This record gives sequence, C-alpha cells and structure tokens, in this order.
Amino acid sequence: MGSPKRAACLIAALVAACAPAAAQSSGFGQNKIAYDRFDWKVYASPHFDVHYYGAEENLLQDVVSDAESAYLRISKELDHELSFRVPLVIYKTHQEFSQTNITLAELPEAVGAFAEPVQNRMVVPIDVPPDELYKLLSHELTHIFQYSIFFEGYLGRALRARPPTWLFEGMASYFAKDETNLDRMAIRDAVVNNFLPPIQALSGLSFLAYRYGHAVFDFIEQEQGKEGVRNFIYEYRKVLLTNNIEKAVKETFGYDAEEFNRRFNRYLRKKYFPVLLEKKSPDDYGKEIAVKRRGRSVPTFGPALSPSGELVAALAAPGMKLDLVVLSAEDGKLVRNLTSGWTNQYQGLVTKVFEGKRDIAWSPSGDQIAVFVKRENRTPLFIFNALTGKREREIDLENLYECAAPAFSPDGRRVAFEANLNGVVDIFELDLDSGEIRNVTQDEFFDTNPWYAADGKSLLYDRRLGEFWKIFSVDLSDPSRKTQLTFGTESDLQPSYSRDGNTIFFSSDRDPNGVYNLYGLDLRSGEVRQYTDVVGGCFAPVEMADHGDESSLVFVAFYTGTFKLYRMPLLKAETTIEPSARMEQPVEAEPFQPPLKLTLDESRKQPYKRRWDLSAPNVGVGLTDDGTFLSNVSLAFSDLLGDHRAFLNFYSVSSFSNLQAMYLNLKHRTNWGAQIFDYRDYFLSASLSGLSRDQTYRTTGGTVFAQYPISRYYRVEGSLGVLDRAQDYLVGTFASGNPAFQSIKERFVTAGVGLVGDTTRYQDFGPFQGKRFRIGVTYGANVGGTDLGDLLNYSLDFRTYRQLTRRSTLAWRLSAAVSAGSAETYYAFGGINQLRGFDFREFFGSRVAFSNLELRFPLVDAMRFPFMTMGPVRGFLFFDVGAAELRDGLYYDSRLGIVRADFSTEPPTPIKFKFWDSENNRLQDGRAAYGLGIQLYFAGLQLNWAWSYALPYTRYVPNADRTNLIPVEQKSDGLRSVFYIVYDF
Amino acid sequence: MGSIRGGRGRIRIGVLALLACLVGPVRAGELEQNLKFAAEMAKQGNWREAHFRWARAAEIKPDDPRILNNLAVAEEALGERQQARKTYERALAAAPRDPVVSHNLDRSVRFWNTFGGHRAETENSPPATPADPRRVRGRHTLEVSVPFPLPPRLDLANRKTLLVASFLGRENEVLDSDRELVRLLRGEFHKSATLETLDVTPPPAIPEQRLEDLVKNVSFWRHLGREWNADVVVSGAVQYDRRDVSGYQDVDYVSEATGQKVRRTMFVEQEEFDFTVTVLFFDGRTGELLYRDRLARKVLFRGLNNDPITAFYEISEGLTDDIVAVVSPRRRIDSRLIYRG
Repeated sequence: MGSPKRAACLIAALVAACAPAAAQSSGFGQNKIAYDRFDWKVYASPHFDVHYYGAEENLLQDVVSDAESAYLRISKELDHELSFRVPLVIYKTHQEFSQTNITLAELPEAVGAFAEPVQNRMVVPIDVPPDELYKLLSHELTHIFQYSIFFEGYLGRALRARPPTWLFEGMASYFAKDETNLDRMAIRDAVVNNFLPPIQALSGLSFLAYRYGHAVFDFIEQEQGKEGVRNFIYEYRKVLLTNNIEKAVKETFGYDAEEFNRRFNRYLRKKYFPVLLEKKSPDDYGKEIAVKRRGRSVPTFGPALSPSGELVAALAAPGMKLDLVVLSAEDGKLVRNLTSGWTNQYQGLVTKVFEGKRDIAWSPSGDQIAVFVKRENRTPLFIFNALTGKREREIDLENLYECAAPAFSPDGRRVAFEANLNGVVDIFELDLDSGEIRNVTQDEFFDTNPWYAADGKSLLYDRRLGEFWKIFSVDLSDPSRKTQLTFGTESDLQPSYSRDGNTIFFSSDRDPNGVYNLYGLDLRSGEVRQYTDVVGGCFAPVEMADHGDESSLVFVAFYTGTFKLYRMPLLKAETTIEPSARMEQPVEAEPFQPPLKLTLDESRKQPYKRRWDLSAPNVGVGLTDDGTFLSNVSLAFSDLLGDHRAFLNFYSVSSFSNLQAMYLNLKHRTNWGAQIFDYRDYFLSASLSGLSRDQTYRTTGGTVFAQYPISRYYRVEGSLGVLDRAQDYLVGTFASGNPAFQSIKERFVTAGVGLVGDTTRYQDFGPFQGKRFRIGVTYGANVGGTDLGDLLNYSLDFRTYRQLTRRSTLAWRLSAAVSAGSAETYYAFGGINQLRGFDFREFFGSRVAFSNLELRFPLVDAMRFPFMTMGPVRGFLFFDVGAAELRDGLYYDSRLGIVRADFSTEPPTPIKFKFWDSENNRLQDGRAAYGLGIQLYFAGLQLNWAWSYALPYTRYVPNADRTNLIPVEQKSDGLRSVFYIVYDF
Repeated sequence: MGSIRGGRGRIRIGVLALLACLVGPVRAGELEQNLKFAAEMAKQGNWREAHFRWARAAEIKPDDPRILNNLAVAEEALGERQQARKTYERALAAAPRDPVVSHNLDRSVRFWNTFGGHRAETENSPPATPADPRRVRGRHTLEVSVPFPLPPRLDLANRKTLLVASFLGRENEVLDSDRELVRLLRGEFHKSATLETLDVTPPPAIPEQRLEDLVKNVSFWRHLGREWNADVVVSGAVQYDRRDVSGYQDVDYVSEATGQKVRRTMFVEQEEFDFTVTVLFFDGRTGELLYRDRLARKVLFRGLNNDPITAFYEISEGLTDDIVAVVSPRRRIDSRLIYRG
C-alpha cells in the first residue's frame, strides 16, 4: 500500500532537483494534507499529558476521566506502573485524526487510534460513543503498558522486537474489554466453520488476529486466572527479542505450544459448538445471492432494493477493490458494476458494515443509487445512475464529516444520513433540489441508520444509549418529538419498515449468546418476531416488493468468514415475544460512566511547547550490477506532534559520501523547510585510454523550499537556494579523441519549481496501477567562481502502471534530464533497471533520456524452508532504450573512451549524435535491450537477476590503420546476465 | 421601459423555448435509458424490473405500441394474463399493423388456450405453432424466452391431502409399470409440496374394471378418499411396451477414406418404447372425477435389449411434469418478441 510520506517526498524531490547525476532519483508519493489548523494546548493529569485544542475543551474532562480510570484499572491488573508520563494526543473527529503528523503514513478509516513505542504517544480521535471512547483509550493505553513492560525504555528493543499481532493486539483488546458482539461473531464463525489457524500463523495484521488474540487471553484467564495472564506476559518479555512464544508458553503453563494449541482449540469449541448445535446457517433460511468470482462468493453487503424488488444494489468486491454493484435479487447474478475500473475521483466507497450501519440507498424512482465516498478529508454523496452506471451528482456536505448510512425519502427529493458535526454524530437531511441541510435529531447522542416512513413524515433511526443501540422514531415536522420504540440492554440495529408499514424489521443481539439475528416489531400488536437464529449474524433486513403471495427479506449474513447477501421468504417466525414479556425487560439502558469522574484543574492547562525527540532511524542498502554499493542511513527527529521534523541523511554511492541535514515544517497545508547538503558523486567511471578514472562533481549548498498539495495526488513545489559546486567539465578533446576534463568551481543562486503527481496503487510486490510523474525546472544564476554562465536544468520522470491480471502489471517509465543553461550539468545512467545489458552509468551527457517497458508477473508466492520463508519470486520481461548526448551534438563513446570525431580533418570534426541510423535502419547512438528476469524479496530487499540481449546498433570503430573511425554494425554481445539490488521503478 | 420589458419578455420566451428543447431530449434520454435497461433485464429474466421500467415508460408515452407490447409481455411473464391481453389490445389499437404485437398476441392466445384453462380431457401436445418469429423479427426486436407461470389445473381450495392409488396396468415382461408409475408420481407430488402426499404403502388396490367403468365408480373413490382421509385421489391406467422396429434406413455418414459425406442404406437395429398413461383425479370426498388427461409418448432407442427401467424414467420425465402440474403451479417456457428500445 502506498503511504503518503511528505517528508520522504520532499527529500527525494530535493535530491532530484539539486543532484546533477540523479536523473534516476525521483520525488513521488501521494500527499498527506494538513487541511485544518490546530491550536494545541496541554493538560497535565496525574498520568497523562493530554494534548488538545480549543474545540475539544468541553470534552477534556471526559477524556481525562476515561484515561485516568483506564490507567488505574490496567495498572492494577498488570501490576505495573509507568515510569513516564504518557503523551495523549486527542482529535475531535476521525478526519482530523487522519491529518496527524505523528505518523506520516496514511490513516485509513479502519485505524481507530494508535500508540507508538518511541515517544510512547497515544493518538486518539474522540468522536465515538462514550463507552467506546473509554475502551479505545484503554486499548491504546495497554499498548503503552506493553511498550513499558517489553521494551523497558530501550529503543533498540523496540526496533528489534517483532511481537506477533495476535499477542499485542489480543492483549490490548483483552485488557480494554473492547470486544463487541460483532467482534465475537467473527471468532465464533471461525470456530464453528473450522478455519482457525494455529496460533503461530497469526502474526500478520488482520481482523481475526485481534479476535483470536483476545480469545487466547480469555483462555489463559480461564485456565490460570489473572495471575496466569500476568505470568505469560512477563515470560514473553524474557524471550521478546527471539520471539520464542513456545518457550514463554512452556514456562508459563508447563506444556508446549502444540499442547497449548490443542487445549485452546478445545476451549473454543467447547464455548461455541453448543451454539452451532442449536442454531442454523443462513442457507437454512434463504438463498445466497452474493456476487461470485470463479464460482466462489465474494464479500457482498449493504443491500438496497430497487423499487421493483427484483434488483439489489450492494457493495461487493468482485475484483481488487470494493465496488457498487447491481445484482439480481433472484439469483445474485451481476447486472451492473457501477464503479468498475480504477478512478482518482475518490479514494473509496464508504462502508461501515462492521459497525452495523447501512451503506447505500436506491431512490424510489428507481434511477438513482446513493453512496458516500471518501475523497480527501471529506465524504461527499455520490449519486449514480442505476441504469447507465454514470455518476450523476456529487454533493459535498460542508462542515459535515464522516457521512454514512444514506436513505432516500419516499418522494426521492431528500436524503437522510448520519454525519459528524463538531464531534457529535446526528441524523441530517439533505434537500436534493435546494441543497439545504438540516439536523433532524439535534441531540448529544450518537445517531445512525435513518429509514423513512412511507409517508415521509417521520423516520426511524438508531440512537446510542449507554452501550446499546436502540430504535427511535423522529417526527420530521417537529424534530423534538422523538419516540423510543425498542428497549432493553441489547443493540437493535438497521431498522426498516415493512412495505405495509406495520412492521419494523431490524437486527438485534438480544439472543442469549449475543448473536445478531433478524427480528420484526409488529407495530399493531407489539409482538416481536424472531425470523432467524444463526451462528454468525444477520443484518440489514429489507423487505422485497410482494411477488404473488410471497413476502421476502433481503439481508446480509456473516457466514464462513465474510458478509454475504441472502434472500429469504418471510415465513413462520422462529419465536415470538409477546408485549407482556417485553415489558419484563429493563426499560432503559444505563448511560455510560467511567469509574473515575475527575474535575479539571485550570492551573494544569498549558500552551503546547515544542520539544525535540528522536524518531525511528532508517537504514537501506543496494547493489548495482557492476558491484557498486549503495547505502542510506537516516536519522529523524520530531516534536511531539510531528509537525516539526529534522533529518540527518547519510548516503553513499561507491566511495562517494553524501550528507544532508534538513528541517521540515508540516504544520500547515503548505509545507516548507530548509536544508544544507554536500553531495559527491561521479558521472564517468572508466576510460579505456587510462586517461581518466572517475569524473566527479561536488555540490554543496543550502535551500529553502515549499510545497503546496493541490489534492491528494498532485502538488507544486518550489525552492530557493545557494549552490557551490566543483564539477569536472568537458573542456575539449585530445588529438586521440580522449576527452579533456577540468575541474571548475561555480556558485549559483538557484530557484526551482516542480509539479508532482502520483496516483499509484500498490500491492505487496510494488506498484500495479496508476501513474506518477515529476516535471521540474531549476534555474541558477552564477554569482561566483568561474563564470561559465547560468544554470538551467529540466527534468522529467513519468511512470505508469497498468494492471493486466490480479498480480501482473505492465509498467512504463520515461526519464529525461536536459541541461540547457550555459553552465552545463552532466547526468549519467545505464545498468541496473535503467538500461540493462550495459554497464552501470555507462552513458553520460548533458541531455539524457531512457525508457523502460516491463511486464511483471508472479512466479512463486513463497519458498518455505524449515528455518525461514523467502519470496515471493516474480518474473519480468523488459525492453529498455536510452541515449545520452553532450552539448553541441557531441557524443561520448564509453567503450572507446573518446569523444567521437572524424579524424581525417584537421582539427577533427565531431561526428554528431544521432539516435537512429536511418541509412541502415538501426540504432546508432541510442541503445536498447530486451530480456527477462526474476526477482526475489528477501530481508526487505529486492534481489534481481536479469538476462538481456542488446539490439544491434551502428558503432564507429577505428579503421585498419587506426587513423580514423568507420561505422560498422555492432551486433549484440550475446546474452548478458546481471544481478542488482534495487527496487522496481 | 415598455419596449425593454417586451424585449425581456421575448428573451424569457426564448429561454423557455430553449429550455423546453433541452428538457425534451433529457426526458427522451431518460426514457431511452429505461427502455434499454428494461430490455436488458427482460433478456436476463428479471421480469419484475423490466415491468417496472416499461410501466414507467408507458406513463410517459401511454400510446406507444412498442412500449405497450413490451409491457404486455412483462405482464404475461408475471402471470397477469388478463391485464396483458388488454395491453396487447391497446398496443394493437395504437398500431393495428404492428407485426410484432400481432405475433405476440397470437402466440399468447394460443399458449393460454393450451395451458391456461382447466380441461376435462385433452391430448397433451404443444400449442399450435404460430407464425415463425424470424419472419417478424427485425433488428429492433429481440426474441426472449419467458417462463410463464401456470396455475394448477385443479382448483385446490379446501384440499390438503392427495392419495396415489394403483393404476390399471398390464403386467408384462417389460416392467411392472403400475408400480413404477405410482412410485414415481408419489415422489413428484411430494416434491411439489402443494398438497400433502399421503404415505400409503403398498398403494391401495383398485377394482379390475374397464377404465370407463372405473371412472364411473364414484362410490369406490369416495370410499377410498374417506378411508385414507384424502381430498384428492389419483389413479388411472398405464401402458408401457416395447417393440422391435429394426429395418433398413438411409444413413448419412462421413467416409473415413474420402472425408466426404456418404448416404448409405443399411440395416438399423432399434427399439421403440411406447408409454401411455391415462390419469384420473377424483374428489376424495364425493368420488367425482375432477380431471382426466391422456398422455402418450414414444421414444426410439438404438440397438436391442435396452434397459426398460432407464427408458421408462427417460420417457416419463416430461410426462410426470404435466401430471404434477394438475395440482401444482409451474412454469412453461414460451417465446415472445420485445422491442429493444
């Protein structure tokens, strides 16, 4: 996955702008944009430094109470005190949270909060219901306790440790007690369908790893009590660096990991198999109508029915992303994929299926389907034409964030939805004609899942009461008139009216096992009928239009590890709860209160003060095909909020060392910074004449720079600086044709601008779809040293990727650099993946260009050895072409080591650069090669082996008496194999 | 001022006219989208969606014979026969010479005459073939297969149970056809689940009478119905025979030597299996005959000494559908022509 890393982009961009021989370097990356400005303050509670801003002032007391309550409980349960104060950074909404600079990686919707082990920061959005906020803070605080217990304040331990996800996240979930019935559904389903992997296999980041890990800690508590949990944690601390879980298990429980797995699986089966015996599967109730790919169902959910009831719109993943599709409600046959292909119009469709919310709506006219999409930091409403698949409207909802759960009014002129306004989630209504928006619930509760009554005068919705969702109705003519329709300590989700308006269908976990099933509340009799009784869960019921005498429900079921769509006839209810029985249940769920309710001490509020600290260091290595070693070491420092960053970069090419020190300010949308640097490199490494070994350059200077992101994908960049350089200039040729170089010192005041675009999407193996480019120009006015004139350099790097199959890609790159000023700059290229079949940096000139076309495809997913796993192994076919030209059309022949000329004249007349020999219909000074290769990923490096075959070209070689050059056809040297360690372009 | 106002008025009128021109095509565009989508849905068998779209289109253009034709087909497909008939007639009234509408109406009438009503006794045969659709089909039309819903041929009101009694049958060396047929019918009636099929084994015997006498034996059927508490009693007569029909025939084959098609007269061994069943449905309470049908089928099998049981089940596959359809709704596929857009 491509992570937008602004700092990395800037560094690379500046290298590209300033380093003469770096035509191959490029500054890409999508933009992480600071849309909002925050005026940070700090409140010092007993154990936390809570970083907040003005708009969160009224929520501070709740956060402090929750955090201190969580600290007290977890500290006691772990029998551990933190020796440091915990920096807790809170954001009012998730969209503000996603702008944080504490991490420069993208934070998708699925990331609820995070804690990091270097500065022990907790970063949390607080726009969740109160009980969930307490659990969220507990979860992240458990991570901080883990860092304290396991890493003991040593950065080295933090960087070297590779704890499995199930252990870290399962432990955090266990101590936070944050598992919901939706979460339990996933583990229950996995157990009864028998696809739980052994504990050792769950080391990657996955939803099941969280759930599985939590279950492990539940199991340990059941077997050995709380003391057993603590013992296991402290035993694991002993083996942290070797990650020897087996040893920790053996030491804690006295038996090996195999026995642990066996007992744990028995525990899970004992817990969940009785549920399996007494319950059914969704197939027992109806027909699966999920989208299928190669005969297998793919995740399909969020149903919205067409007015005819025969088609259903849903979110599904028929390919590599979530799409909006139209299916036949009869058999699930795909009728339309409204969002097929890749787009840069938005980042993705909004879905909250795992939060029990509806995702899409179908207009009563039958022509429009509405869905929210994620675009930049907003969630505009997209309305698609159901017939053509075209996007008809997009409506940006000002000031409202994280919109979800759309519902059309019966007249099709309004859309109700859930949205976050200043941290409070309410139901809003959009008038599609006028564009007016109004808040129809206007309360402090969290509300979601609106559904209009048939007359359009009221709507049903879910309100969060305490830890539970309950169904309410609101009168749209008088929003103060709200009626609670369901009661008790269970969650009732996704209400919808029956077609006759006499029943409210909904999903509820009122089952003794907490299983979500479908229910119907008869509004006339008050009866509640249970229609399903499954092992997994059933959600989002919608009644289809009557067909004959048969009434049917379309619903989503979680079964065999995924959400699928089903249609079932509305037959006899499993059970019926009489109104009298319902009255025996508790009338109202209790509002959530944290164990400690603290009051704020105003004197503890301080403005935020910047303090620098070390961030994670970064080390990288590479190897070119001629054995040249490449390395990069980076030290990063930042303030607590990550807005101010400093970098020390050391990197080398062969024995040439480079140094760069940079400051970056990421606080605002326009980023700016300054740097000083000293680059040393070479552009010509060998000469057959022995005249020259390396022609070098040195560039020392400083720049200030800024970049403005136009959108997530595009940005403009600019820089001003001073450059002092010493470069080996080509000042002429000797009689033999050997180039004469002279080291010349110059000083410039520079100005540069650039345009960068990046829409690339990534898979594990690298980029597979999209494009990225950088166009730049740098002007430098000579202000000192030898005055050869001014500098004017143009550069272009364009790359595009086209997905062919799921894991194969066609990639194309065009890279060019032109030194057009009076002061010349030399660029070098060749070898590695720039021009295979030729030596590393074999070509140099002041105008260079090369292009690569690659077909990349999978070969072997993984090679498993008893001691390690390597892979994947991938293959590629390639065609490379490139050329380099010196000023005035001169051409340097790297193999002869001379600047090519006609030596029969006095003085010798240059034989000018010609890319193509049109007389002989072949390349002349251009070079091209084709071939194939394989690449292997090992220890984070990409190892490449390539076999190339160069195309013939016209070459000038000495004649028989060696007095002049004559053109001959240079045939290929044959198959040439190379090995190099660099990443794909 | 007046002239200025007048000028503005003209401008407004001009703008309105322009808007009208713009709105017209937009509306027409929407209509076209709906019609195309409806045709696509009909082709995929999503008849309710197609009906919804054509009904909407008919609201916009109520006298368009093409839309009405398509709407009528959708109504037929959804089982609204009477409404479909009216819509076809509306389409014909709008375009009396429209060959597609005429074709569909003709085909519809024949189809429903054959399969739609309750009959006392019929020979089971497909409807007479109307005009070849290829002759009326153009590039603007599409031939679609429609699984028409057929109601049960018997009125099942207040009837819940069904008993399959023995059949009159000649036991021969081929097969105990009575027993096989009863077993087969009980299974098929059970699957259709419209009436509860009574589990009576062995099946109740019936008097050894001529078929016509058996039909008139009301007291026996009433007795049988009361004895087993059956609302409907099924019986009848079955005949299953085979005969050698080997003989000389002209046979086309491809010569291995020349690769050309060659016609040869050669002796072909084959058997004909002849299956005839007269099925009778009696009212178990009154003993009266409710429904009578005679179904017959002959099938040729290559070679001699074919397995009679395999042949029996192969032949009876289509026939039992027709028998079960007497008490169970079913679908029967026929084709219609619709306009593409």
